[in-house]
Amino acid sequence: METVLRLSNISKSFGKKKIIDNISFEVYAGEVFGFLGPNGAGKTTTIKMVMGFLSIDAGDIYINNFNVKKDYEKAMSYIGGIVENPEMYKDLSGLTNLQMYARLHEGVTKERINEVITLVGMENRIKEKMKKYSLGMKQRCGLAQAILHKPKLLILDEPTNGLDPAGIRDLRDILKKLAHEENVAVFVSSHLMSEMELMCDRVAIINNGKILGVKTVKELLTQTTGTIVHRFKVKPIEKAIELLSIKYGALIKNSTAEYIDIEVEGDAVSEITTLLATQGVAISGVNKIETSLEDAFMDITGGGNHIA
Amino acid sequence: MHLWTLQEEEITLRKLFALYTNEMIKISKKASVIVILAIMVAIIFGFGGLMKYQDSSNARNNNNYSNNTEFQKEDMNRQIEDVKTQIAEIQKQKSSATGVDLQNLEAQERSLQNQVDMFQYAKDKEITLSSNSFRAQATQRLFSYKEIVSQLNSIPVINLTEEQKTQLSKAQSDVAALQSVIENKDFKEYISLLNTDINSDTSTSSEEKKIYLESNELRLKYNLTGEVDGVANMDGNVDNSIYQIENGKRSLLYDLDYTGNSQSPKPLTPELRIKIENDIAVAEYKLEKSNLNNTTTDNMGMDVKSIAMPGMLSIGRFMIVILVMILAGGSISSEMSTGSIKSLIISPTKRWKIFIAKFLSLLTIGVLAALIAYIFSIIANGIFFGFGSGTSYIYATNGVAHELNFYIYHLARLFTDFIVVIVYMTLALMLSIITRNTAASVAISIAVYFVGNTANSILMQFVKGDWIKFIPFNNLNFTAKIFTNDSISQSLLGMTSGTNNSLTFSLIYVAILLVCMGYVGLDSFNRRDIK
Repeated sequence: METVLRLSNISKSFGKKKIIDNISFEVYAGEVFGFLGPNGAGKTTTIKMVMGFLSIDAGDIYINNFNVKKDYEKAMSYIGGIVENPEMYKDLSGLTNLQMYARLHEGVTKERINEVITLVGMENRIKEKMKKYSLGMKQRCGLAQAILHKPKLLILDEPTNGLDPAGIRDLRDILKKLAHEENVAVFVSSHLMSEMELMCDRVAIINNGKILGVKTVKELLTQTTGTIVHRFKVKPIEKAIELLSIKYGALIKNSTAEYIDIEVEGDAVSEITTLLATQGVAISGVNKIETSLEDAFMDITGGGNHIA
Repeated sequence: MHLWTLQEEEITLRKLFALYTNEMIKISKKASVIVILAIMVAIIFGFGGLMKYQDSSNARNNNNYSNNTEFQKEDMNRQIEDVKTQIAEIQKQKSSATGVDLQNLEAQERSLQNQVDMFQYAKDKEITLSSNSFRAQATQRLFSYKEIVSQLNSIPVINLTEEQKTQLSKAQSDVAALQSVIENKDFKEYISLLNTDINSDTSTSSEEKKIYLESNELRLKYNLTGEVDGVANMDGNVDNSIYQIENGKRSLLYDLDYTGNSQSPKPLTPELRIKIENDIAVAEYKLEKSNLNNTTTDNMGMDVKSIAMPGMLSIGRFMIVILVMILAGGSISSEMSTGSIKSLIISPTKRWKIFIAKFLSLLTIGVLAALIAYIFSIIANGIFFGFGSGTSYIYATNGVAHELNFYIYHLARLFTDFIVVIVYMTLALMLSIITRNTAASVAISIAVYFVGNTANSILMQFVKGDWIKFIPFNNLNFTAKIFTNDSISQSLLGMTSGTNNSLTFSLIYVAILLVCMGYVGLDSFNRRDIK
């Protein structure tokens, strides 16, 4: 696998405060790589260092094997991206903004500009001034600008901000298409775990400036939960626990005044309901509980939004 | 290897050009540019119109004054009455005076009576004594000789010394000659009388005499203080030119500086010698030119026509400085605060290229604004004063005079002034990076522009140290240093401070200043984290 972005032992402090503490990871061509963390974990700071907006205190960043510190222009020529908000010139139209950006790159043709406009679905309103755009439209324009020159590494900071559900789905499709069909390394940061679960192939989780783990989405999900849990809403709860403890006692994960979580699936679920029903326990509901990346994330980060 | 570097340079140039094009697009969409340029054009026309109004009202007043002979006669009568009352006063005192006192009073009475005669004579001959015309001059001289005659006549002939006798006979012949000059309105004869006086003066050297004779020859040639249709031909500028030539020639002759105001002339330095030679050439050229134009300019009040063009252009320059300071002050800070600088940097572009592109685009806007100011000034000047009305600029090198066309001269002046625009633009650009705040950088640079010169001139009043020549404001007045012969524009700009610094010193100083400001700005830009 081709490594497009490599961070090795990166640290950054603002004053005495260490914002990024010795982080390392790699992003490969053809994958969507998620960079997850609560607000203030250091996601944007890391991205700004990759893009050269912030100086790097320690460690090295390589883009396509060019060191950002030493070969800045060469390294940057492989990057496209949006940091924080897609900031373009408000008094100019989306098209003019794209044309201006295209001018700064060798070999971006008129056709390519039209191609990206179609890709992000902005054909109808591209000639309007930027200040008339909604946040979602700005995001689309920003994305168009970021992929205009066919970068090998696409970096997007919180790209779903301001997008409606349909927009998020479109974005997901575009990013997957870029990664899987055009072999682009897509690097996406977010604090929306559920979103990342659907979008990413691999994720790195960052909290308090430290990388807590880099895993594939599958690995993350199975690591924390090998099994499936069902939640039984029953009454009276004590009687139910008593009845079930004989056969399923070891599988009861959790119980409250209203429900019992049991690690069972398939036939065992109907067995339990039959048992409870015949013994006079009222069952008001049974659901399967999905374990999400969010739970995995909570597990790993210790469940807290530690604002760093 | 060689080809490779060539390619690198080509890419850099293409990139710079792309950045420059983008900057121009951004600036062209700014409403403030259009607004400021529109205001500039409006003020230029407004000023031109004001000058036109001033000019025509001056002309009206002039006509009223010079045509009003009744008023002049009345004035003359009043003066006569004044002197007559003084005489009556003296006669009263005489009745009680004796000895030396009496003699003194009699001498006073004679002198006053002589004045009454002179006023009466001038009135009869319709000569305006206050004018510069040769007849007025001749009348003054005539009565000074008459006074000598009457004074000597009061002494008994037996008591006269030999010297006094020759003096008397000379005065008498002078009186007769001057009377005939005035009667016949003979300017040529008047000049020859003056020349006789110069030649007979034994205290001046023959070289100096030659200088004075040449001056008179010029007066005769250009009919200066002669009369045209009975009206005195008195062009103050031309008159000045003759004195300038005379003083210059004397300075060169005795190797002492007579051109300054100082009573004790200093020895000439080689530079001053060259300057004086050039000044003489310019003055002679101006004389010849004024003769060709054959204009009888009356110097009542300020010559507003000649102020109009430099005035309009300095308004233009003022607005251009404001415009570029506003644009430069926001050029980098606004992109930093909106974050649009990010997409520029990852495009990828080294920051010095962004800096250079911004600098060049601002410079272009400044030059375009200057051209707009120039074109509209020409149009306004043409509409109000006529398109062929401008006087060209005359300068000399190596003692040979040259003429610079009016339009070319003012264009050259405007672009010499442009150095000032560049200095303030760089200041605002630097502040824009350092403060990261558009309002602050614009406000500071405008404050420096407005207050700086005033504060500096106040400082100059109190401090006399050598170090003041290193104050930037003392080195920005390039037009005064380059176009030294344009006194009108210089006095209009009111900036004579710092003219002691030589042109070379100021140029080097400003070059260093620009490099320093550029370096500080660029360095700060390079180090700046983008948040």
